[in-house]
Amino acid sequence: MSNLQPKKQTVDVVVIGCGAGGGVIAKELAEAGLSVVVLESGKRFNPLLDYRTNAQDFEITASQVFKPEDPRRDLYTVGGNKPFIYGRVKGVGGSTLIYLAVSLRFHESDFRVQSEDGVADDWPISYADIEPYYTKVEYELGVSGPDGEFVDPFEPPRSKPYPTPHHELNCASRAIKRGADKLGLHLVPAAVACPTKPWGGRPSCVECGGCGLGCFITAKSSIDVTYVRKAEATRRVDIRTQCMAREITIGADGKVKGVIYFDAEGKEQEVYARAIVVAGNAIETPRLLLLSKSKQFPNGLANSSGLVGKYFTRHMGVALNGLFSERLSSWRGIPAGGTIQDFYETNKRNNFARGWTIEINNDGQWPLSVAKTIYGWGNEHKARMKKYFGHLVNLNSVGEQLPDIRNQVTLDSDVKDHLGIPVPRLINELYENDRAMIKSMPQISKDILEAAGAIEIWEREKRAEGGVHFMGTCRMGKDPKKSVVDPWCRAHDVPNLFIGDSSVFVTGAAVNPSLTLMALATRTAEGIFTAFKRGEL
Amino acid sequence: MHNKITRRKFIKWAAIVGGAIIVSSLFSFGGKALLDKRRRAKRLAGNAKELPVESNRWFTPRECALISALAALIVPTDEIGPGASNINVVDAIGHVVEKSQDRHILYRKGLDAFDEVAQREYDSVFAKLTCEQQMSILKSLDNATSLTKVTGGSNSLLDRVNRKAKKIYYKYKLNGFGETIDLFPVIVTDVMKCFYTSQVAWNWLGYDGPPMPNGYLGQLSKCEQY
Repeated sequence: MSNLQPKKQTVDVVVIGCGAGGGVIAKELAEAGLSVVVLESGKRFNPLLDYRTNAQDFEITASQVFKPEDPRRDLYTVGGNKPFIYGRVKGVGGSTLIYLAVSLRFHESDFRVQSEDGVADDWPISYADIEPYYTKVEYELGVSGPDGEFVDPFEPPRSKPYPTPHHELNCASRAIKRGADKLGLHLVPAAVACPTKPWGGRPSCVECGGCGLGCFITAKSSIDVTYVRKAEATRRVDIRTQCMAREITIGADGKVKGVIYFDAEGKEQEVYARAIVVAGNAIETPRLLLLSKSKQFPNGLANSSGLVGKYFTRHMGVALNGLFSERLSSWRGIPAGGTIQDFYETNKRNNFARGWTIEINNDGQWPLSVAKTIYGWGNEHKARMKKYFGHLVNLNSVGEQLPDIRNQVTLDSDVKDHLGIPVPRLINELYENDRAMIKSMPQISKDILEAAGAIEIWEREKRAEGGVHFMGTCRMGKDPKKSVVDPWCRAHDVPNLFIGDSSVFVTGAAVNPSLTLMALATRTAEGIFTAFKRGEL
Repeated sequence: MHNKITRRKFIKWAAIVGGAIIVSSLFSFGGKALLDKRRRAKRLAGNAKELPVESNRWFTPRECALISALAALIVPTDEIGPGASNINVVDAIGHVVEKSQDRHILYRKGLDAFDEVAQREYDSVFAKLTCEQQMSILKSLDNATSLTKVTGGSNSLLDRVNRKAKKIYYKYKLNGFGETIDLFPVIVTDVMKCFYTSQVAWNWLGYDGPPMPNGYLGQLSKCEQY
C-alpha cells in the first residue's frame, strides 16, 4: 500500500470507520486478498503507553485518554424534551476500546418480532443465517461463556461451545446469584470477550476490572488488538488515522467512486475504490450519507426510501444499586459479572411486547467513583462512604426499545464540528411500549436484590438518556421502499455501497449489540468478496 | 378646620417615603457594591504579587492555609478514619489547578471571596476562624449552591434561557457569597479527587488497587460468609 500515491490511488475497498464493524470487514476482506484503505477519524492508542489503569490516580486520568483534543470534534445536538448522551470512542478499535466486552447473541425471536409479537418488523434474515458468523467471531475474540455447571436455558442454539471457559463469579455476583436462585431465576456468568486463557497471542484476563478504561495488557478482545492486528498482518490494509470522511462521491454510472476526507493535517484528500463500506456507527453513518448529496441523491446517498437516519433505536437502561452488609469487593473481577435472561421474551401477561436482560455491572466500584455517587461532603459523606464502599452491587437492565420512525438522526446545519461539518442532531423518545416496559424493569431487579439480602436498594440517578448502544438508522430489508440496505447490507440504491455497523439492525433486541454487529460485518464482508469474485464490483 | 389626613395626602406621603427608601437603598447598594468591587480588585492585585510557597506553583501561603482549612472540613479527619489533612492536599490541588486553565481564576477569586465572607461575618480570615464558624459559613454556602443548581426542562431555547435566568437570579440573590458559590462545588470535587486517589484513603477503605498490572486472578472466591 505504501507505494501508492495518496491522492490518486484506487483500492478495492474503502472502509469508513475502524470500530467493531469496520475493523472486522477490513480484516476479512484483506485476508481474502483485497486491498483496503480504512479511514478512521480518531487516533491509534497504545495500550501500554496510553492506558493508565496502573496509576494511583487512574480514576482521574484513565478516562481522559479517550477524550478528543478539540471538544468540537464530538459535538452533537439533541431534539426532543430531554438531555441525551451520545457516548462513543473514536479511535482504532472504536468503542470496543472501552466496552465491557459483553458478547451475547440475539435470540431467535429477535429476528421475527413482527411474526411473533406483532410489533416492529421482522429482519430479512434469521438467527440460523447468522449463527455461523456468531461462532466465527466468538472464536476470533476468544469469548468466554457459561459452561459446565452453568447452562443458560435461554441461550439460542449454538454450533460450537464457547472458546474459553467462563469467568469465576466474584463475591458481588455470588450474592446476586443467591437472590436469583431463591426466586428460581437463572443467573449465569456473562459471555465476555475477555478470554480466560491465552488467546491469539494475547495473555488471558487477570480479572482487574478495568475493561472500561482500556485494557493495559491487551487481554480484552477489543478490535485494535484482534481484527486490526490480523488485518495489518496481511499488508493489504492501510489504516489512516485522524482522517474524517466528509462526503462519498458518486459517478455518472450511479456507483460510488470515492471518499473525500480531511486528513490528520486538516487537508482535504480523496481516495477512490471499487466498493465503499460505511461503518461509522448508527449515528455517524447516516450523518455521512446525508452529507453526501448529489444530483442523483438530492436527499442524501442511498436515501431514495427516505429512511436514512430514521428508526434511531437504543437500549433502555435501568440501574439499581444494592447495599449489602457483607463485604463484596465488587471491583475485583470483570465488570460484567453475570446475566439473567428470564425476562427477555414477550410475556403475554405484560402490557408491553419484548423484554430485557439483567446484567450485573461492577464497573466503577473504585474509591473515587463510589465517592462521587454519594451526595454531600464532610463527616456524613465520609461515614456513608465507609458504609458503602466494597458493599455495593449494581444491577443494570438492558431493555429493548422498539424502533419508531419519529426517532431519528438528522443533520444540524446550524452547528458545525471542528472541521466545519454539520453535526448530527438526535431525536430519541420513548413511546407507549417502551414506557410500559421501563416501568416494569426496576421491580424485578429490586426483588432479586431483596432476595439476595440487600439492606438498602435504590435506583441510580440518571442525568440523561442515551448511552452507547445505538442502532437502526439504515435498516436492512428486502423492500427498497422500506429499507436502506438489502439482507447482505448492500445499499438498495447503490450497488457498490455497503453498510457495516449497527445502523442496519431492524430491531435492537435486549443485549449488547457488539457481537451481532461483528457477526453481521463478517457476513457482509463475505458478501462483498463474493460480489468481487462474480465481477459485480 | 378639621385636620384630617385625606386619601390624597396619604398616597402622596406614602409615595415620597417609599421613593426615598428605594432611592437610598439603591444608592447604598450600588455604592457598597462599587466599594466592594474596588476593595476586591485591590486585594486581588495585592495577592497576585505574593509569592507562592516553595512546594507549590500556584498558591500563596495565605491560600495554602485556606485550602487546608477547607479540605479539612470537606473530608475531615475523625473517629471513622483519616481525612484530607492526612495527605498533602494543598500540593495535590495545586497540581490539579496547574493543569486546568479554567481553575486558575476560579480558585484565585473564590479563595479571596472566602476570606471576604469570613471578614464580613466574623472579622477574621477564614483559616483563623473556629471550626464551628467555618462550618457555619460552609453550610450556608452549601444551601446557597444547592439553590443555584437549576436543572430539569428540555434543551429548547426557552428552557435554556429560563435556566440561565434563574441561575443569574440566584447568583444575584446570593450576592453576599460572591465567587465562593462558583468555587465551593469545584473544591469539594477536587478535594475528594485528591483524597480518594491517595494511598491513605485506599488503606482506610481496604481497597487493594490499582487494577493493573496485577489484577485479582485467583482472589475472587474469598468472600465473607453471608
